Amino acid sequence: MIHDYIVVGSGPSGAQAAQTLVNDGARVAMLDVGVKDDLYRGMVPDADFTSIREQDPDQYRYLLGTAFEGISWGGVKVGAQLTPPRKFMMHGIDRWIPLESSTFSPMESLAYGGLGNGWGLGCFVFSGPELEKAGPDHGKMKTAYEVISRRIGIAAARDDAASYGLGGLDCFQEALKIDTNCHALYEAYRAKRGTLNQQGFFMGQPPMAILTQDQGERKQVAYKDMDFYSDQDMSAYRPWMTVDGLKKHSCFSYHENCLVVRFEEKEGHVEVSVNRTDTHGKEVLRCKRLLLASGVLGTARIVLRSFQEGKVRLPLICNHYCYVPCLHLRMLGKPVERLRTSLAQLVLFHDEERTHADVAVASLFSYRSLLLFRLIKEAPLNFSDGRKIMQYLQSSFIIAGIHHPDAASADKSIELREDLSTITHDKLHAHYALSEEEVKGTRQREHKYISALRTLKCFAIKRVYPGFGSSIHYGGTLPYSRQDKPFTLAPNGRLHGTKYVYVADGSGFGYLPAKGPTFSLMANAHIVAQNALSS
Amino acid sequence: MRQATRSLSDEADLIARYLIGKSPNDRVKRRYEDAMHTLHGDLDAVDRRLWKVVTCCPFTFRIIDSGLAVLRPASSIRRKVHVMLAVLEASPEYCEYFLPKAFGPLYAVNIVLTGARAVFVGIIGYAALKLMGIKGQ
Repeated sequence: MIHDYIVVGSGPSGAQAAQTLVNDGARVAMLDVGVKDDLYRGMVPDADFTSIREQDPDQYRYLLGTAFEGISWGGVKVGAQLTPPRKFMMHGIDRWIPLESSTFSPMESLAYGGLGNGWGLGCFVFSGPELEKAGPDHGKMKTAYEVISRRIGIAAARDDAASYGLGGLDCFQEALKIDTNCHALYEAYRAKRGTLNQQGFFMGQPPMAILTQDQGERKQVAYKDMDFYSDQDMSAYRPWMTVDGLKKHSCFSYHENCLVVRFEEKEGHVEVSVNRTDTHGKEVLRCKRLLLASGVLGTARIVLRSFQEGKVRLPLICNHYCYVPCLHLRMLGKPVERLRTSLAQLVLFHDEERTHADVAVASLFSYRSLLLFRLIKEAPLNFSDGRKIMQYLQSSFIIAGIHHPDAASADKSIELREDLSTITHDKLHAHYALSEEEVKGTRQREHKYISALRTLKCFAIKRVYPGFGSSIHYGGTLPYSRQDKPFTLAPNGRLHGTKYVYVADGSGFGYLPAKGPTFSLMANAHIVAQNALSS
Repeated sequence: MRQATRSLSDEADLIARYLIGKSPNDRVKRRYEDAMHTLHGDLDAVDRRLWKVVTCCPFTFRIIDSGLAVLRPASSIRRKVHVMLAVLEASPEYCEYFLPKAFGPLYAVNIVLTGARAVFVGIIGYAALKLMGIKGQ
């Protein structure tokens, strides 16, 4: 049997590419490992965080984990922020898609819905200058953003930050409510807007993939503050919801336990080789068009194996970031409302030149539902006094996650090397380092952020660098190119050197703006799927 | 095995009294035991020595914990306390010690004093550990 289209991966890109294909009436098979959470699903009660904390005697099972996996010890590393019900996202990574690096610690996922299960839900529109550097066509992206916005549902506000986060997006729902802590910060910003705008700072609410009005089976947000633990009412968008919907179509088939390892083009079709993760057997499936959407690193593995050329280094880009715990003095000793979300409440853009071209982003969170014991550990105090002090300070904590844009350089690359100890007999090696100039620019920018927050009576305690790769924003391995060069993509998303293979994830983005890329990845996947349909 | 369980239960009691000033209920003690069995927080030679001091003289707990926080933050003794802190926090009976709430202005004074004590005990703890010949990690 030859499928019309095979889509590899069920993450944000794969789900949206498949949706576009199916909407056009195409017959689509999705190949995915599809790890699911069978342990915690159904365990989290339908109640708000505070009520759970006050009443549920079994809360430790999902807050700390049945094997206490939520009590991490040691330094901050990638995945440490995942709560036990989200940790399934990383299941099987070391075994099936190993990666070695002393400088780069990415997060990958073989889960049903991919990395989208842990997505922070920020839906940022890339500006014209940003898209020009990244690769996708500006005009087509504008339309694609609207299509994706209608599909997933976005809550947003037209405020100072809208020109950076929302662009010209028309289709969105009413914004989320801001919690007391960040509302006070926003009021302070409004009072000092003139000065901060002059310095290039613009604050507002981030557009989020969450519903403030019911949409189909999905309910509007109930502000339970359990967003890091459960998708119960489906108010927050996750890609598995799209795939669940696609499964109801007769022209869509979902094949789980399938790790795609390589492809080979034959006359008029593509052969896709698969390792079964359940039986450990091998299979070959055939299709007329192949769309790779298994994440930037996953797609790179498949492409490198398929071309089987000697040592090839692919470029790699990744937003580097740091987070800055701050004390918001206005909130000291103040109560915290019961109903709120755990998501980013505000976003602070920095565009010194007002060009929309090299913008940095800080997402601002209040701290509660990740529990206090994780914070207490970070303080150089004894635990007894630390608990008392942190409980008092808790309502005034604001965590600023500062992301920087990234572009390719010689010091950022990946390579697939032979390794007979692994199942696929190879292992991805990554090297990532910033130039001195990049480090200097980054630190200066962080300093400006800290200074701007101080203006708002929000004082930084320290800067924490979780390491390269931990932003979970990757791209640039197979950049878009108008020239027919190996390991690049044609403007329509087709992999150069192939006739029928398209790449629908972030591999083609030659530049990563600091804004979270997920919304743009989904929009790009929609465009690539349309191009595959029209080819 | 029974001996080990009893010692973990005593340990849970000691740590909870240090953290919140009272003994935990049996459910929390059992959960702490489960957590320690699962997480295998074995003590190295230095930690064993310090743990002996803490169990013999519980009033030294704050001083030793303070010293470790500066000198050996990844110490297995700190890990034990961290586990108990997590277990207490995820128990409804003790959530009042962790959930944010409104505090009056007088409590702010209390917090300032607690902070000053924490720093002072930190200095004492650091000096005590140094005097015991314990090196940083």
